[in-house]
Amino acid sequence: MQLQFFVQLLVSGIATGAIYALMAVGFALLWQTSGTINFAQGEFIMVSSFIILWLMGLLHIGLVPAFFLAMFISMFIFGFLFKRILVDPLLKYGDVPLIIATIGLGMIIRELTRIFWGANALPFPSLVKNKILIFGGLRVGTADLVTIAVAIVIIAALQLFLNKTFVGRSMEATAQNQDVARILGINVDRMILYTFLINAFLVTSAALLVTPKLLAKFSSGETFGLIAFMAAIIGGFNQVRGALIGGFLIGIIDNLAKFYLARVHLPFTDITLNLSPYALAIPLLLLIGVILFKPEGIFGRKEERSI
Amino acid sequence: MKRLLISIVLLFSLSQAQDSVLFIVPAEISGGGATVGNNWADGVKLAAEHINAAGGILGAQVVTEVLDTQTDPPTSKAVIAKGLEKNPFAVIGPVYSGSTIVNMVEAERAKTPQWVGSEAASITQQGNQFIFRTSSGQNGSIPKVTKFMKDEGINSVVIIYVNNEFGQGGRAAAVENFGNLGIDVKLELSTEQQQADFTPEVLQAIMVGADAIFAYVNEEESARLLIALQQQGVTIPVFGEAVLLSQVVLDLAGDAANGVAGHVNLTAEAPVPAVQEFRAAFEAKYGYTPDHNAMKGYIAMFVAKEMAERVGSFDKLAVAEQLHCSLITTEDEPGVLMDIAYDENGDIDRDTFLISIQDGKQVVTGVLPRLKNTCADQ
Amino acid sequence: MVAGYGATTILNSTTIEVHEAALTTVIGPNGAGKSTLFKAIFGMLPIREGKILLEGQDITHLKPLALLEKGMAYVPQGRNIFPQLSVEHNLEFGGISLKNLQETRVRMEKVYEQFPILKARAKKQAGTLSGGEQKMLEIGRAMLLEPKLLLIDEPSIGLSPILVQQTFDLLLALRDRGVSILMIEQNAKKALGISDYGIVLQQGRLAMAGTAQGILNHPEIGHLFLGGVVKV
Repeated sequence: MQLQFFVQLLVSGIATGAIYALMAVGFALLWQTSGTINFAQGEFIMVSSFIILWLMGLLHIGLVPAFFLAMFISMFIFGFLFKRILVDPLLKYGDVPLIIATIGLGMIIRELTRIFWGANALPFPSLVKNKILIFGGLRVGTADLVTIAVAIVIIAALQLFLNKTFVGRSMEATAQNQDVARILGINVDRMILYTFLINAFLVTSAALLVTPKLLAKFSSGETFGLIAFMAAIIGGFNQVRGALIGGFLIGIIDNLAKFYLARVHLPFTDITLNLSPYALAIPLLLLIGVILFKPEGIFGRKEERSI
Repeated sequence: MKRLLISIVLLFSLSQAQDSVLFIVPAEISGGGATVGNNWADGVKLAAEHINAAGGILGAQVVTEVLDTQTDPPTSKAVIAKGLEKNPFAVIGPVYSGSTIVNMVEAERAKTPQWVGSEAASITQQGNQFIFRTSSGQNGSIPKVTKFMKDEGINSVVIIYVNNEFGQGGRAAAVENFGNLGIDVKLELSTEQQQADFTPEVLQAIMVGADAIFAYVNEEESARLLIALQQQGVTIPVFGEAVLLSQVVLDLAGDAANGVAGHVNLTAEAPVPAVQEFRAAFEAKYGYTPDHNAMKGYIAMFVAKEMAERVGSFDKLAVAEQLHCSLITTEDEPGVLMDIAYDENGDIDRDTFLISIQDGKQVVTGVLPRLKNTCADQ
Repeated sequence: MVAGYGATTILNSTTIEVHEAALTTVIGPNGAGKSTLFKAIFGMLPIREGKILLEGQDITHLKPLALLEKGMAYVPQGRNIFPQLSVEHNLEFGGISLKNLQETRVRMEKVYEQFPILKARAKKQAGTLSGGEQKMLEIGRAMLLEPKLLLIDEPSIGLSPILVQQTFDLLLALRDRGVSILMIEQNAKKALGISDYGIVLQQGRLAMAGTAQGILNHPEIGHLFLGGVVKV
């Protein structure tokens, strides 16, 4: 019984964690290649789900074609235009003006979404109709399985692209040392643009996967953005792999903490404490611990600065 | 220049003249509570339209000014304080208890009656003579749910509540009433707003093996909880209150909501002709089904209208005094939709409904008549 | 040539000349603008006035990629590898301006012949290489292009004396194959000792130029490195 519950919590934690990972990877990629800390990441995800819904209604098309269409729109707006209009002019003044600008951008997107699509949460179609599969005592929804599968395929494809293609490696090189990349003739500006396009793609994918569960709502971007940021810090800001694992970790730890803190049996006593109100603090404690003791992230590497 | 000054003075004197009466409407237009806040504000605006079409209040046209609290208590306090500078006749809103508790002192200080959609028990227990509810608070409605559960043969329960003012108030009232009825509370689980995955709570509920789950979380989280329960194949019955049974939750949770039962103060499904007329008018204007908050906002405006007419002026102090221990029937004022009685604290007594969800729709399974236990009936 | 960062002018009317198939060393005190000179030549800094000519062709405002295509390569100071990528993939970046992956692979084999150690470590992450091996990787990567002109900034920094000697030998071998090399060195005496020509920069201006031997023997040079001012 106990083990079965543990596995169940793990599986559903992985399903949410996979989506968090998608959110965090794009966040970390932007930071690596361009030094952009994008606090509008959550709003990008939120509004992408509205764009998908809007296209479905407007063109009377299914979820999948609407997703691909939304992906191109998102790449144009949150990839190309975001970089050209906001990031390029501001980045030369350092990180902080850009951080503040992205926070402002997030607010604008949030309020515009509310004005255009209203404040009510809207249901969002799932890629597959949720059927509950039972393995032994384990109950897993097909929707969760598809979510995990799609997230893993996207992340694996991204890793392959980054490691196995010349363009991907040029992006990695740009992320690791921009000056040297430029000296070698890598078109650094284009590589950075590619990262923004990839981030826009990841953001739309995350919207596709997360919204059936969390619903399309103008205010949900704040939570998404916070999670992406936390996952990236916990896992390691300077590595795609770190952000990835950070995302999964938050999904899983959240679940385990909620379950196991609900009834904490004090050893050698009959006292059982209900600590469920404090479960939220566990990922935050992890975050603080990482910042204090391993600021490069659990799976990150120390920044090496050449002199 | 002179002409400009004169026209400004003229404008001022026009707006000061009593051919219009101002209501400020603080509501959760943005932020986490936007679903309820917009329902509330739309209900208020519809009422204003209906009142104005019928000649206004004491001959004055109703003007509403919606103020966005952003679902943030300090903001709600600030916008109300600012709105009160215009000397409105009444404050209509907000809905979230966390905001009301913080901002109700502003209206009290300005000696302006305030009607709120909030249900936290503590709001009417502080001796504020200007605060009025539009539905019974948790202390009025939760005993009805728990009693209903007892009647259904429930002997043990798991409480799942949201960790905010609303959820904690509901949890406290539920624990007390379950205790009085001899229902064993096996576990209380705290959840967060915007929580994505309710699997841990559902598994805990399975593990402790209670007869029923009592769910007291916000709208979207209610839907997620019901979906998680369905996914884990939980068959134990789920009971709740207005939020759990609201139209929003039904829309979002789909067939996972079937079988959920409980008690609501107000529902657009109520088999009451006035409610059905309201619903039709609301749907025609806004294109969506009103929830209980829209009805509360609508009713608040008509209570204010009726009281101004009873007093015969827009004397705010007199209106607040008069409303305590008053009964307003639908014959007095059809806009209140159902007879409503106020007690000495601003709490109300009204017919309420037992509801269960069948095929994705609210079905009224019983009407609990007005208790007639307030000073209005003595 | 006049260039600098933002509003600050570092190089002020500096004129230098690099001889063909020779090793020319730039020396000068800290802050003289040696590295800035390289960045300006290699299109990393805007040039406000003046001209840069390569074999008579004007290359003043060209970007790095165009300069690579013209046969110029640049190895900056410090660590210039991508530590997370493999040695092989680091080396590969040397051939970007060839725009021909086939040709790049052929030339990579040539580099491997010269530096067998790089071939042995080809699949390893470049960050795991020792300091000397990393410098070899950088020079090998620059040589992949078979450049006419190589700019190399302080190759000896952080290397043991034996490795410094090896690096210098390598540069001499390149020169003997006809590559023109412009090098910055902190270790002026040693560098001038192996160089053909020398250039002395001071406060962004050319202080002295001539054969390496001539500069080495100039009475003012010792003075210069004691912090004085060269009078020419």
